[in-house]
Amino acid sequence: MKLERLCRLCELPGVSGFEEKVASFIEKEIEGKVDELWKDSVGNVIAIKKGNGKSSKRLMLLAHTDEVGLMVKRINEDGSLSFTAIGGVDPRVLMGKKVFVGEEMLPGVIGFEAIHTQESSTLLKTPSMDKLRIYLGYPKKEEAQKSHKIGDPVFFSTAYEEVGEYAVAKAFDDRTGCEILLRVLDDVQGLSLDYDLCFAWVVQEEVGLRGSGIAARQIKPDAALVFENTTAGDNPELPEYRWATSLGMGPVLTFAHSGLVLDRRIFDTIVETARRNSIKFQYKRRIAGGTDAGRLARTMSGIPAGVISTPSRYIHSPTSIININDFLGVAELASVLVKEGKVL
Amino acid sequence: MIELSNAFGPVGYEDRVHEVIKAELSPYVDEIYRDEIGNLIAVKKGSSRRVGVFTHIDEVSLVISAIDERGFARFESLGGVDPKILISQKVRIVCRDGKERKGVIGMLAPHLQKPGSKGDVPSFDELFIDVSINQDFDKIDIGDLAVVDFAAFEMGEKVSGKALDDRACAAISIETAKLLSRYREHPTVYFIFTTREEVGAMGARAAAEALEFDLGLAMDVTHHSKEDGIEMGNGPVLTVGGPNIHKGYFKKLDDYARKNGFSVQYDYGSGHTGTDADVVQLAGNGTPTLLLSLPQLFMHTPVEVVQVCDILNSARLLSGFFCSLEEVEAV
Repeated sequence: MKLERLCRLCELPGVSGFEEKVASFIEKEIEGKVDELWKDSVGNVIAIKKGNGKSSKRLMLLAHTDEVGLMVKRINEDGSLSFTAIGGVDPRVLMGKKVFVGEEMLPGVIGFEAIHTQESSTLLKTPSMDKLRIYLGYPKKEEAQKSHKIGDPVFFSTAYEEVGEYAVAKAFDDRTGCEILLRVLDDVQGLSLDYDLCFAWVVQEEVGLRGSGIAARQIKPDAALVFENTTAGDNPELPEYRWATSLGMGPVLTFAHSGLVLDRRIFDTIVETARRNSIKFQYKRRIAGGTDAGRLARTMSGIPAGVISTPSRYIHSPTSIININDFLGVAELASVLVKEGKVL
Repeated sequence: MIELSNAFGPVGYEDRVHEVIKAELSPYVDEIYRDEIGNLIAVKKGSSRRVGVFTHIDEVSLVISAIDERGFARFESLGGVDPKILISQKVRIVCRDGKERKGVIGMLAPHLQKPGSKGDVPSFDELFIDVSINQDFDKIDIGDLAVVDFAAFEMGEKVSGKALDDRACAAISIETAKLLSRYREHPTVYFIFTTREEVGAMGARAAAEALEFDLGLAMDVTHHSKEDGIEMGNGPVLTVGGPNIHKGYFKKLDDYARKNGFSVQYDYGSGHTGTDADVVQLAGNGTPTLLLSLPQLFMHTPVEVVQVCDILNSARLLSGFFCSLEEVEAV
């Protein structure tokens, strides 16, 4: 396997509001590698590697620990569980899947009525989320109540798998970003940077960019780089000119996304750095989707940020695909940007 | 049963399932062979009475119908597949060169979908398998078969898996053969693990024609349905006498079940039953036919569910019933 730690990160359960296992994993990985390390009241993991004092500036690298998933909203008479979405989940990606329910990760399945007994008029209609159920084999409500309660998180179960130059998994959004930060930290071990390099692994991005602002206020950075996972869109149903990004074309650089035009100076610096270092890159060609950079722009007096992403096909589904070289390109670009410190 | 469910055995290509069955069953039967059409037949020798037990081991599957230069393959289904359960699944494709390749059935991310399209599920014309992740995806060809990649698992007293229709019943056959080994007197029982049920039961037809049984018993899954009084955990389901079912043998089986305290449930068969039983009945000069069903939830999805005790009780019922046929003879 090429990306051992990314595999472990992706397989960890961590839907928004339930990121503890991802946070603990990261804390263990960075212990002893940073000068300051703390976890704040919402569950953000924050770490600082102090500079040599030549500069008083601070650069913050940020990625989010949460992933989209589901939450139990009702225990039904027949022992099945009804659920609602945490973050943007399309009901069409849920049927016929195995899921893990609750912190104990009990396995269940989201089935659907057999094709033999369905009305043909609704066969190609999306069922509402409320019509779907998680089935765990309980014969009745009382049995289910022994192990489950309303509000329990539900996680996708897909195992990480590499196929040649590609990886298939859940939660690349944004465990790829989490792993980029870990790699940068490993890369700068033993180096003396002029400025303070700060790391924020933040919670609750998928439910409204809720963790990043708090983290930034504790760090007070002069600039930030957000490492994300972004939608590819190079599907056969779209013509090439409508693709947001495409796999295999390298790190994705964003000039603007939903709700934000990014800081021009930082964006230009990232593009210039990639060109000078012969790192293949692509622009994000659609404005859809937002990132924590949108929150940072609304934090303190507006923190300027750049966004660099690994593209992913079928994002927000249990089965997303990344190109490993795209990911490695992001890691390389991140490392160079940090060592050069020009974005500050 | 978990191993049976996980084995790759799309319609007409069940050989890998044969290997699993042979490994498990060989010690308990006298002969095991593959016939012309691709059924696996295991013979447990006994009296001159010849009983055929039919369970199909193919699974609903996908067949590649086109592939483009970027690595997106189009497909059709073999057997009834609901497009809703295919989106975002991993699939395994076995190619002409014998190698297995991977694919993902993708869908456009919510961020990029057209407004107003969320209420519709893509049809088979719109769905695709992303095989571009395989470096040598050009080795995938039209006609190669794919199944959803799903590892069966235990869920309390139940099991969930992709091909429990009908390999859970194949597990009943295997258990029945094991139990028969404990009896001195029993009929000669042919356990026929049939090919191609999902596209018209030609495997069962060929075997039933060739072997001409005194009694043919098909086993298949049926829908768990509280309204119809068929529930997992309440035992095997017997289809009562109707056009497809032999009334005399049904009474014998039902009487045996009642007399020996088996919990059974009943289903009706108003015409043909949509199982191997349909063709078995018409084989030769006509074959007395029975149908035993296993209650199942979410049929033809990758997460089919059956209950383990139903399988064990079915095997106990069948082995006892087959032996009782010999006793009746003696009286």
